[in-house]
Amino acid sequence: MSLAPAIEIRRLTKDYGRVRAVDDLNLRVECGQVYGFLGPNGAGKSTTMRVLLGLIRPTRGQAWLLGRPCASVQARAPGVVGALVEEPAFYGYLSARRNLALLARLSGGVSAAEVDWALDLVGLHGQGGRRVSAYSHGMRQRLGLAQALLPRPRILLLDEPTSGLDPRGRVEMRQLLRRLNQQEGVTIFLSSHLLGEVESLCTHLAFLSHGRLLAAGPTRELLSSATVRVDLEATPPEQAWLLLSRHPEVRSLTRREDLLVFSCPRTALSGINEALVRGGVQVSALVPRAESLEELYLRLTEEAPNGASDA
Amino acid sequence: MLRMLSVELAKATRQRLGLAALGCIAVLVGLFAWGLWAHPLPQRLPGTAAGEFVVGGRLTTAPLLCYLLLRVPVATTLLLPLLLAVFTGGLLAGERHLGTLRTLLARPVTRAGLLAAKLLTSWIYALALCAFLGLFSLLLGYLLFGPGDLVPMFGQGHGLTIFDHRQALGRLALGYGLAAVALTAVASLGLFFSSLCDNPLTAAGLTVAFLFISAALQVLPYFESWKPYLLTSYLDLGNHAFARHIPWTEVSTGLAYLGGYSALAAFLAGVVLWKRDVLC
Repeated sequence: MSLAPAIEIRRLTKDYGRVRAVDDLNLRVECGQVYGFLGPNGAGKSTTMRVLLGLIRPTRGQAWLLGRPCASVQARAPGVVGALVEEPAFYGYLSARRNLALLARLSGGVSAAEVDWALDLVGLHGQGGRRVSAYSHGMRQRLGLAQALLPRPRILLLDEPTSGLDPRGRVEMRQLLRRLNQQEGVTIFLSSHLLGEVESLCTHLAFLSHGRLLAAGPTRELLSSATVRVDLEATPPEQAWLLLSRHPEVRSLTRREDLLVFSCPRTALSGINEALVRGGVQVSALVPRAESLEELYLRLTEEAPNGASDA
Repeated sequence: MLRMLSVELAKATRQRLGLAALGCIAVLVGLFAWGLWAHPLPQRLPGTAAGEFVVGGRLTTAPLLCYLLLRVPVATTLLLPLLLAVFTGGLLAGERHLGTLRTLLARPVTRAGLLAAKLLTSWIYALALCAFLGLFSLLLGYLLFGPGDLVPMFGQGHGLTIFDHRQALGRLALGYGLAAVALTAVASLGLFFSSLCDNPLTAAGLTVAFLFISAALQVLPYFESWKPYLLTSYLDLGNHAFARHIPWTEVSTGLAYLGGYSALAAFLAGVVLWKRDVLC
């Protein structure tokens, strides 16, 4: 059994001309984890995935899959990695079954029974004989996952795997990924903008913005971190808003009906309360709670420096 | 490598483009055959210094149809290069355009291996087009005109050469073989342009433009010294097969230049494919 991490990225930097897409990224994904890779559009998620698949050469740094350098063909040896990067692409003039068989042939080949197994698994049972050009977007997405599963990989790299799926399809895809991880030990590294899906599926998370890693770690730890989301009920609210917006520890201040909502370090709560009272604000409720993934995501990406960095 | 080649060939044989190309060739052959059938060649041939030749027997035979399709600059120097440009345009640019290049390269496939498989596929396609042109014209010729001798009509200089049926088949095989080699150089060039582009039509357009510019330079007296280096100078290499005495020196020089073109185009395509990130 290999002791190497499923994915290791060290000091990865990728420049496109003068624009830095990924900036000194370090990441380690252990075998068996379901790792969520989050960030706004243009954060560098797809670029990182493409580097892992050897599709893009990094400007600096290195990445490994199961200890094999990503630039080498050994990193994509049969049974190591399966991938679905952005929109799944197939030969429209061939049937789904033929597409899968041809692509799997490049990885050493699979039997017809395995092709059928993959089609069944993604819910395309009975549709394998149809030309892919007649497939809907959701069906292509499912077929994309089927091709990533042939031959059965130890690592799955999935870029927006549920994009284009209907709600039932999303649930099924989530269940399938969970099953692959729990029953077959497949390590899953996925990016998605559907935070609820990521929160329910991923054991670990990494946040990326403008190519830089903002935070990474186990999902539970990140969500119960030292930063809390606070609901404040105070009068007069305008004065409270003014004081909070000037307070150095307060982040992501918003107004929700009668409440003022903000993030701050748990340890700063009493000081903020004291500052409000001293400033003539009557505090009727100050309720700290753990941040949701969405709030964490928004706070981290808001705090990140804006604009694409120059190389 | 063989696995990749089998995948490429499986894809190529299932594309409608392949059938369409064969259809185009069949139409061209059919038109030539119809023309010859409606107006068979006269028995009196324009001669040279010795005056006219009057030929006894039939001039319009199966080998003649096959010969004309090779010799008249429509099929091997226009139609087949165009069809090849369209086919090779799709090999890399088409994969990029579809997004399937990333699907392929996410597999245990090296870029060099992929390029080699695509290059071989393009060569096989060129050979297949040439073989279909030759065999179909011969078959149709047998059906319409029957077997017979071949009297080459062009480039004879003084006198007249007659190849008996067996010799004619040998010369035709050589002529089509040389034409096929010339087309593999066009295929390599097409693959190079395909490696540069993200759109198959752009790649095909560049290949055709290259051939047109090369053909234009070939006929301009000012560029006479460039002629030996132009690809289009060798697209009619197959014509040498019908000389009374085959000019082997010219043939081998032509083959060397075509090989050089193929090697250079393949090398440049390899450099481009190796250096370019797969972003589509």
